[in-house]
Amino acid sequence: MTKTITIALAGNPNCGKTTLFNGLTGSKQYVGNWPGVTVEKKEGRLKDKNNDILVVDLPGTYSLSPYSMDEMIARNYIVEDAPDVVVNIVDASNIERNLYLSTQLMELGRPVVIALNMMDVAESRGYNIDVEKLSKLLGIPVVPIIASKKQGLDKLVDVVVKVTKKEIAYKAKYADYGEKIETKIKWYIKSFEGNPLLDKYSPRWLAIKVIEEDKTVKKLLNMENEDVAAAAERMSLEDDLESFIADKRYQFITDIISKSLKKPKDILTLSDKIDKVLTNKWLGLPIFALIMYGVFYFTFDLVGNRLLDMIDVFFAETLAGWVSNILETIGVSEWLQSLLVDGIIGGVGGVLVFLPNIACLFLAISILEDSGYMARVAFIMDRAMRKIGLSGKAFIPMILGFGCNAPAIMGTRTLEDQNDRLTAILINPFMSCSARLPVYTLFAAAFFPNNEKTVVFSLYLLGVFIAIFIGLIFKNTLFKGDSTPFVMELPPYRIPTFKGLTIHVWDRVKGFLMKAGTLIFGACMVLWFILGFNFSGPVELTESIGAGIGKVFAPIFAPLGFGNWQAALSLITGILAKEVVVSNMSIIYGIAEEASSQAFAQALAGTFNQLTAYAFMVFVLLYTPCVATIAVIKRETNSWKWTGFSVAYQFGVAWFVAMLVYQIGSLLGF
Amino acid sequence: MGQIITFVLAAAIIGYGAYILVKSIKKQTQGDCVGCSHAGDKNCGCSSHKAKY
Amino acid sequence: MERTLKDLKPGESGKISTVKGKGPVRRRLMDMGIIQGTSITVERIAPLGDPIEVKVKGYNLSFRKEDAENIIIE
Repeated sequence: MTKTITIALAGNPNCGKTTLFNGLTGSKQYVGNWPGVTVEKKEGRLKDKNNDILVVDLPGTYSLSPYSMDEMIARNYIVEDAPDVVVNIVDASNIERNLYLSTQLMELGRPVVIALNMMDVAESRGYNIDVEKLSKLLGIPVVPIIASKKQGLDKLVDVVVKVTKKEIAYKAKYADYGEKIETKIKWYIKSFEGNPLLDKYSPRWLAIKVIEEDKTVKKLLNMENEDVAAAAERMSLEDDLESFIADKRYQFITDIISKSLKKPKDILTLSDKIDKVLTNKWLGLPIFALIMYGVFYFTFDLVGNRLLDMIDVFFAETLAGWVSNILETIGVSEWLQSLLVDGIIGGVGGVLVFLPNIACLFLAISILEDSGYMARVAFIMDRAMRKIGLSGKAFIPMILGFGCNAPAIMGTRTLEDQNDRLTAILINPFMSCSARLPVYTLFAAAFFPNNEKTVVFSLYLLGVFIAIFIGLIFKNTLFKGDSTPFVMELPPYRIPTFKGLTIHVWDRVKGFLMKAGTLIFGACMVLWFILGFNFSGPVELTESIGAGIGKVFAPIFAPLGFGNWQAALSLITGILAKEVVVSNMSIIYGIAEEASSQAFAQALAGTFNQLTAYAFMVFVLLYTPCVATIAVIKRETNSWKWTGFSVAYQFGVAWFVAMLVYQIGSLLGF
Repeated sequence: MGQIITFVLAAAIIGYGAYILVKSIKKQTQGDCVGCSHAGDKNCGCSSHKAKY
Repeated sequence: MERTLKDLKPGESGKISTVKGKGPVRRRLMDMGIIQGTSITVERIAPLGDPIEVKVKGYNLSFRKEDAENIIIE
C-alpha cells in the first residue's frame, strides 16, 4: 500500500516555482485559499510509478520572518503540517540571495531538497556551479533542473522519494552564529529536553527563535513572562540581533558560494542593456506613454476594428438570414424564430463581434506581464503614486484592470498595507474593463463616426483621472496613513514565449466565448421575453415588462440626459455583465438583420443625441461593476460594509459625473 | 411537423437558457469570473476549483 | 560625515558598512542581501527622481531614496 508523500514547494518569487509546480502536476491542480486568509493555496497530485505524491505550493517569499502573511503561511505550513520533504527552488542565476531562504528552511527541521533551477540562464551568464560540492557544503541534496524545459524533474522526484524513504543520507549544515549565540543555543536546547513540543519542532529552530524574540514561539513555550534578568542578558548579547543573524547567515552562504561557484566579473546582461533605455531618466516616461498608446492603438485600430466589421456582417446578414430561412422552411412558429434570430443571434452576436478587440487587448497585457515590463512600470510610477498616497506596486493592478477588474483586484494582494490595499481595490473598477468596450465602440461608431478612437480614448483617460482623484480623496480622508514601503526586485526581462502568450490569450478568448454562450445567451433569452411580452401576452415594445421596468427607473437618469426606459433597462442589466448593455440595445432596436453602425445610429438617434450618448458612455464607464467583480471585492475586503460602499459610491460618482457632462455640455450648446 | 419541431426546439433552448443563466449568476456571485476559462496557468485568481481541505 | 547609499551616483559602487533604521523595511532590505561587507552598485535613478535601482549580490533591487539614506557606505 502506498502512503501519500507530501512535498511543499518553497522559494523566492520569480524563481520558477509556478513553472515547476505546473510541470510536476500538469492539469491535476486544485486552487483554493489558505484557511482564514485571502492567500491562494495551490495543491496538485503527481503520480510517480509507485508513489502518490501531493504537491503543495507555498507562497513565494524572500525569508521566513513572522512579519508578512505569506511568510507566516509558508513557515506555519512547514512546521505544523510537517510535509515529508520541502523542495526549495533556487534560481541558479541569483543563487546568493536565494540561499538565504534556504538556510532558514533548513533550520525548520524538515528535510529540504534544493531544486537548482534556471541552469540555462546561469550558464549563459558564464556561471559555473559545482553542484556536487554545493550539495556537500550544504549537507543536503541539490538537483539541477530547468523547469521551463521540464528537464531534471524526474531526477528531482526520484531524489525526493529517496529522501522520504531515508535512502539518501541527509545531514543539513547550519549557519554558525558565532560563539556567544551558539552557546546560548546549546543552553536552550538542553533546557528543552523532555518538552513534548520537540516531537514537532526542531530544538535548534526553537532556540534561535527564542533568541530572536519571536513572539509566536515564545508563546508556544510559555516563555512570554520569563524573568527580566535572562531577557536583559540576551539583549546585551548584540545590540542589533537582527542584523547580526542576517549577517551570519549570509556569511555562511558567501563561504559556500566561494567554494562552489565560479562566475565572471559582473557583466552587463541583456536585461541591463534593455533597462538602460526603458527606465532611462529621459526616455523612461515617454516610452511608457508610447507603449500604453501602442496597446490602445493595436486593440482598436490595427487589428480590432477591421475584423469587427467582418464578423458583424457574418452574424447579422449571413447567419441571421440563414437561420431565418431554415426555420421558415421547417415551419417553426414565428415567435420561436424571433427568439432565435432577434433575441439570441441579435443579442449574443452583438457582443461576439468584439472578440478581436478583446483578444488584442489581452494579448498586449500578457506581453507586458510576461516580459517583466510590469515591474519596471511600478518602478517608474512609484514617485507619482506616492503623491496620491499609494506606492508604485499599486499601479500594476490598475493596468491589469483594463483587461478585467476581477483578477486585477486580486493583484492588490501584493500591497502589504491594508489601507493602501483597500484604496486600490475601491478605485480599480474605474479602470475601464474589457467588457465595457463593446458599449463604447457601439455608441462611438454610431454618434461620432470619424472620431471613434478619440472618443474611446477620452473615456479611458477619464476613468484613470477619476481613479486617481478618488484615490487621493480616500487617502486623505478615510484611509490616511503612510504609504506602503517600496522594496522590489527587478527580475530580468524575459522574451514572452509563444506558447505562454497563446495560453493566456486563448484562456481569455475561450472565457469570452463561454461567457457569451452561457450568461449572455441566457440573459438575451430573458430580455427577448420581457421586451416582447407583458402579463397579457405579446405586446408592442413600449408596453412590455422590460419597458415597464425601465420606465420605473428612467427618471433617475433624466438630469443626465438619458431619462428613457431603454437606457435605464440596459444599465440595470449591465450589472450582470457589461456586455449585456449592448445585447439589450440590439434586442430593443431589433438590429439583428442589419449589419452596420449606420443602422444602429439611426435606431438610437430616436433616444440619444451626441451629448447624451457621451454622457451615457461616461455613466457606463464609472458605474457599479458586474456581479463577478462585486463578489471579488467582497472576498478580498472580507466586508459587506466596503462592498456595499463600493457599489453605492460608484453609482453616485457615475451619476454625478455624467450629470455634469450633460448639464455643462448643454450649457455650452452641444 | 413545424409544431413538433417548434416545441422541441423551444424546450431545448429555453431550458438551456434558463439553466445556464442561473448557473452563471451563481458562479459570478462566488467571484468566479465567467470570462475566465482556466485553460491557462495564469493566476487569474478565480477559485473555480475547491481545495481538498 | 558618513557616506550613505543616497550619495552614490549611477554607476558608482561601494561596500556597505552598516544598515541603520528600524522596522520591517530594514529587515526586508537585509533579507534581500543589503548587509555589512556586501558590495553594492547604483544602477540608475527612476525617471521621476525616486526610487533607485541597485545591483547587489548579482541581482537588481529597487527601493526609495529615504531608505537608501540608512545604508552607510564605507
